[in-house]
Amino acid sequence: MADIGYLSLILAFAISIYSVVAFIVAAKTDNERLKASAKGGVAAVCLATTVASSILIYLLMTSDFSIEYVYSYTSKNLPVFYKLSAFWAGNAGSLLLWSWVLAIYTAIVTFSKKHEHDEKLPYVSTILTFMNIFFLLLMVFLDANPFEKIPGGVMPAEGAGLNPMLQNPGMVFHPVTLYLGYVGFAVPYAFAMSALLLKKVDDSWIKVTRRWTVVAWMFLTLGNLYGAQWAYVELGWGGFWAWDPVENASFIPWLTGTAFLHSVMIQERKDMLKIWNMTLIIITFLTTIFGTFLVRSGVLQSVHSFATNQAFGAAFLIFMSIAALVSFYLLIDRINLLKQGNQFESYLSKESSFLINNLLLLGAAFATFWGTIFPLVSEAIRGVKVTVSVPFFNQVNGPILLATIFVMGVCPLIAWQRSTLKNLRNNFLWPFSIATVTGIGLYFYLPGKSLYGAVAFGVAAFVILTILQEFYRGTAVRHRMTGEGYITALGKLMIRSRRRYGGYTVHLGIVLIVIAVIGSYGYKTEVTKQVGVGENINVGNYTLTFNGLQEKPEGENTIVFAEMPVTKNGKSIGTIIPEKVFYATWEQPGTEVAIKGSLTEDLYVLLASWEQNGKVATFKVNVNPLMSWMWIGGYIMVLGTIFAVWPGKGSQLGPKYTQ
Amino acid sequence: MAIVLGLFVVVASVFLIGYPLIKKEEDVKSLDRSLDFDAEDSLERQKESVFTTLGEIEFDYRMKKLSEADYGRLKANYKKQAIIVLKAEEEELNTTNDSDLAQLERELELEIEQEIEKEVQKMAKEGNE
Repeated sequence: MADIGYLSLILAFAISIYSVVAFIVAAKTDNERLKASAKGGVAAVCLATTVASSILIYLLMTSDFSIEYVYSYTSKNLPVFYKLSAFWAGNAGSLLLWSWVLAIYTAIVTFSKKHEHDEKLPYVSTILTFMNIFFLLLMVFLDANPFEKIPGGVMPAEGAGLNPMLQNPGMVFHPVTLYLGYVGFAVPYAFAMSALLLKKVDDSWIKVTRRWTVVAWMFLTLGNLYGAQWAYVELGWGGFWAWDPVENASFIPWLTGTAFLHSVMIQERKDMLKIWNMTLIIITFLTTIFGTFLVRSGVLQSVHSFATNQAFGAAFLIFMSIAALVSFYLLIDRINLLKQGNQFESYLSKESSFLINNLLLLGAAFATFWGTIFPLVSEAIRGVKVTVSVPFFNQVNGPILLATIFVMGVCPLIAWQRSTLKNLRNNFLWPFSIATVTGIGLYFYLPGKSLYGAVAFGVAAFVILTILQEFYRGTAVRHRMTGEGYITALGKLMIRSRRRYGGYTVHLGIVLIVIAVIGSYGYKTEVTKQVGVGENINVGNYTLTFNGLQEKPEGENTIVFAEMPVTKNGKSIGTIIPEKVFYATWEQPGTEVAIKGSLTEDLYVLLASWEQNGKVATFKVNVNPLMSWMWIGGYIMVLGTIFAVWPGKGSQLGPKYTQ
Repeated sequence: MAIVLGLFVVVASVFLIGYPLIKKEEDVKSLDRSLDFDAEDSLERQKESVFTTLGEIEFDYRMKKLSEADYGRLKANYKKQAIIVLKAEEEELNTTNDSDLAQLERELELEIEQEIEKEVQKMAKEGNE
């Protein structure tokens, strides 16, 4: 069966090359038959990668340890759920997943009725298929064959097993959603490059790729969110984000993708920022490849890294360089075409606030990028590997992202084209006043008298109020105009302007995440304490009692745990059970965080170590305020995105402003 | 089983690539037709776009985001654009040959006012449904 999997990959590789050549020749010679054949090639690549992927899943599920990949990442007793996730646990499998998703996306674009008459389509399909040639090439020729057999041909009785840190539901959702997002951005990139190739740089490429962009962004958001959730409960970092190089690598395209998502609205409505949008989609695409490069090149240490050889790093570097050179060459060559369009009319306009938001997002992306690659730059220039740690990222990105959030609150209050100070004042007055009072109040009320925290909460309050005001005023206007009841007016208002109100819902989700970040970073209480049996740990309003360690078997694993009664303000709230898991198939024990969560705060407990046969143990106990709002906000963001892109009247063509 | 699957992938791939090369000529939609369709579509899009813009300006004004002066200026500007689009639409329908241009402009002005009112009142109608 594995041979058929490998054959399918070779077939997909060969057909991809055929399709690229056939598309180019068909475009040059206007040969409809050849174009149809090239399109058939796209379907064949999709079929071949689907067969290869299905075979790999089959081999994983049946524990065929004669295949090196199956042996390396699974064992017989691994639950089915994790056997499936082993598909992308290693380098070869994750490349196959990438190639498979790309082949499916390419087929969807190529056979979409919407693009049937679009002259860009052959170019788009060519570019996407060309990308897939690269991924297939790695699998077929560069030591990343997921169907490679164990040397010697002897099938081991048991597999090496999946790294216990990867045995978390996050492993199923986090990589897949990230890949769906990463690969999704290849589609608007391919349309943008086709527009440049054909010298047709109007907003048509933006319109046809809007849904692709938003959905890719949504998956990238979900991917980051699942990653944060996973890190929070599994890795024992004590938090959801550690500015790990590979976390950064998925955050950078999220930032540039967010900027792109907003700035294309300006081109769509005002025929402006064409160069900017092209640049943004190029950067976003390149940074998605950069993330993959980081994971596979071995240049940086990270929990996410795959064990690969240097050839992989070189291959990704070459691919990235070619993509960058070709993209920027086309951009510069067509720059005069892109310069045509409208100009800003007023500094006080929605479009100028969008531009500020873009610059801030790009600033954060650059700071994150620089912090991530600085150790490499330093090593290359001075021979010393400097570590850029969490404080750098927090200090630089904190203010930039807070400013971005503030602009996010201002933006909905301003009209397109032009606004006046008087209008701004009318719209600003209440949100700004209440937010200021909130900030001042929280400064005195919350512990630590943190000015930064108070300002941040004030900004978050301001944004929430502006969003609520938008919903309220829109509903009120509709109610006045139609006589509908307020709830009906609100519902119909949202449905009629799905893009706008879906966007506001996404903003609301973001503010909730921001509130969680401020709370958990700025007001976290952290205690690491060694305690003997019968002793207490006091953290904030909580008291935890250590009654000794216990041990229990779980399958082939052994779990050491502490069952600790917890009181809050003197009242019992149950027990909390942090664990260390000793795996039969893995040397390193795993840490299972115990969390007692509520809407106001999480009690977060880690069993760090123990001595004297468990009579003395060290615990790390955190009280993380407002953490639940991060996950609630994340899902509100996703719901808002789905609402905004849901097909129907309200999601159609937007207004277009001219000079 | 493996051999059958292998054969299926190869045969299906060859079919997908090869069949379009040898199949009988189909009624290929002519480029001209698709261009006509695009032009028509573009005019319809322009019309929809300009009236949606007018609707948004109206809504922003009522939400107090636009000053009286800016509202008047923007509305006048997009009304002019609406006239151009509607004129183009009339020309496509070949109804302008015998018409008096000034009369047509007056009619279009009226039509635009009605369209704006319709855009604003559309919600009212929906509300009463």
